[in-house]
Amino acid sequence: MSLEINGVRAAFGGLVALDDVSLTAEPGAVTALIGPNGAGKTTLFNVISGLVPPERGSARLDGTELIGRSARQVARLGVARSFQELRLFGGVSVQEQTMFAAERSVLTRSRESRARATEILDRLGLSAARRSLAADLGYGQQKAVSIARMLAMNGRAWLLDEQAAGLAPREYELFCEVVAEAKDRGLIILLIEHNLRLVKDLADVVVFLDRGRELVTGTAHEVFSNELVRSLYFGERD
Amino acid sequence: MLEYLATVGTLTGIFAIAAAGLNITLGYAGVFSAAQAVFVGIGAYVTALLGPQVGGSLIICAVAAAGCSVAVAMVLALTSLRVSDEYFMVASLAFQIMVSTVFTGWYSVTKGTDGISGIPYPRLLGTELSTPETQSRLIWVVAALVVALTAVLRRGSVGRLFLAIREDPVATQTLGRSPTLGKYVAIVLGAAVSSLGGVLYAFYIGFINSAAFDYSLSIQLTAIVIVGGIGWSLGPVVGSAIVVAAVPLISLLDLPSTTVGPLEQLIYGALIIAAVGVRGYIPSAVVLRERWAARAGGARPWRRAHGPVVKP
Ligand SMILES: Nc1ncnc2c1ncn2[C@@H]1O[C@H](COP(=O)(O)OP(=O)(O)OP(=O)(O)O)[C@@H](O)[C@H]1O
Ligand SMILES: [Mg+2]
Repeated sequence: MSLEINGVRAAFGGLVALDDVSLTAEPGAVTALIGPNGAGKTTLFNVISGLVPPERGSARLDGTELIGRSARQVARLGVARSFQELRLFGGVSVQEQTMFAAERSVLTRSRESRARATEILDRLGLSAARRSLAADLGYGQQKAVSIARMLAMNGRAWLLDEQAAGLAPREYELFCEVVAEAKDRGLIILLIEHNLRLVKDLADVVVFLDRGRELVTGTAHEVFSNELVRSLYFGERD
Repeated sequence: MLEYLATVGTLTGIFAIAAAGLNITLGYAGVFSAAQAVFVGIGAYVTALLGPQVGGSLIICAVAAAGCSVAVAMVLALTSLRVSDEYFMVASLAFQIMVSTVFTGWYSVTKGTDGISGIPYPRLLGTELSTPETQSRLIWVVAALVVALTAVLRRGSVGRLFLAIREDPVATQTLGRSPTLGKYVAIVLGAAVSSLGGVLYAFYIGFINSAAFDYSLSIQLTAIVIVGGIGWSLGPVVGSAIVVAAVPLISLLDLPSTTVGPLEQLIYGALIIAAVGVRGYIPSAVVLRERWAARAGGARPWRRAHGPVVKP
């Protein structure tokens, strides 16, 4: 029961975005991916979720190979992801897109998906906004809608791409609660964050990526005090 | 004059039905098909050829028309959905031109531009609808049913899939659903509904020829859907009232008869461009609102750069 990434290499033309990356994300734990802009963090998510085919390597969810499957198949195997740019359905109401995420096919009963959406929107404080179009919401609420869709998918693994960035304090707290709850339910949680306070608070394992290479893995304390991380990421010289 | 108005009113209903099909394909699912006239034409030809054989049975003609147009729509979807959205538009236009050529050129069956006359009155539940008034009533009942059905479709799980595809196919996939399958269904359903418009058209006019179903009808249907408010279930009725009923009023102006036709085409084009210009781009009914929201909240928030790295 884990998400195992092994020897993943991905390139765009001559640019090697991921160079032999390996890591394991355990269930009931938060694995944080940190690293400078352009390190390849989002690309790794794209590889796992079936949007970018890697040159080689494997990604196994509970032993099932994800590489080579379509994004749709990966999602149906239980991988729920968010996007840095959110990719909400701007012209669709909050309730409807949450319902959509809860439906596995057009045969799913609307009553079931509506009940599930209502429950999730309540939890995320979006009840009052449920009829609003996603495009009409503020940034923090849009990020909550992105989480709502992931919750609705009822997946086994979460890939969160900078979901906490730009949140107001109360939204931030809610986000941390939701992640903690997911962790308690035994989900595999992989998150990309630039906010190192959040990483320190939430992450059980931290993986430092730089220019496509996975350089340091350990606890937050170990990684943050690592010389290489300090010089490459924090820009410190001593 | 009154008769003229009644005819225009009935044609408005027929075009609303035909456009309601395109509203499913283009308005809901965002698939820009430039071949919708093909399905109206199939409905009309099935009626013209089959109608006399079956004593004008509306149900038989409608079922046969829907069946044929679904089959042809599958061909369009299978051959053209592999490519990107922009190419689909071009491919569907090519498809429209090919089928138009068949309508015109397959003289032994379609009688080309000479056309087929002698289409019987429609018969429904054993009653022959032999007056324009009863047919007009039938057409508006069908239009109301079609609007109601598309509204129900829009609010259900199929509607949610269509809208998701229109808004973001990549996110649709990562939510575990298939954009291709959804587009396929949207094209096929849209074709079936539009063919119904063709059936009613053939019965009402009593004569059809190939010129009625060429690319300019596709443009007209697109204009109706866009002007009426894309993706809104009542939109085709509103759009049809503007495009079919209001625009032809220019013929009341004192213009030479040869300029009226081209002028109408120009107005349709201008209406499409105006409606699209107002909305920013085609596949969304709400971009206007979206833009207001963006303006109110400054730039699109997710486009901004990362916040500062918070050190531990
Ligand atoms: N689709 C693509 N086509 C070409 N190059 C790409 C593509 N996606 C990513 N890249 C490149 O791959 C590298 C890694 O990008 P990636 O988005 O994975 O970085 P990141 O670690 O997520 O950075 P950030 O913190 O800025 O989000 C970058 O140099 C980027 O320009
Ligand atoms: Mg990124």
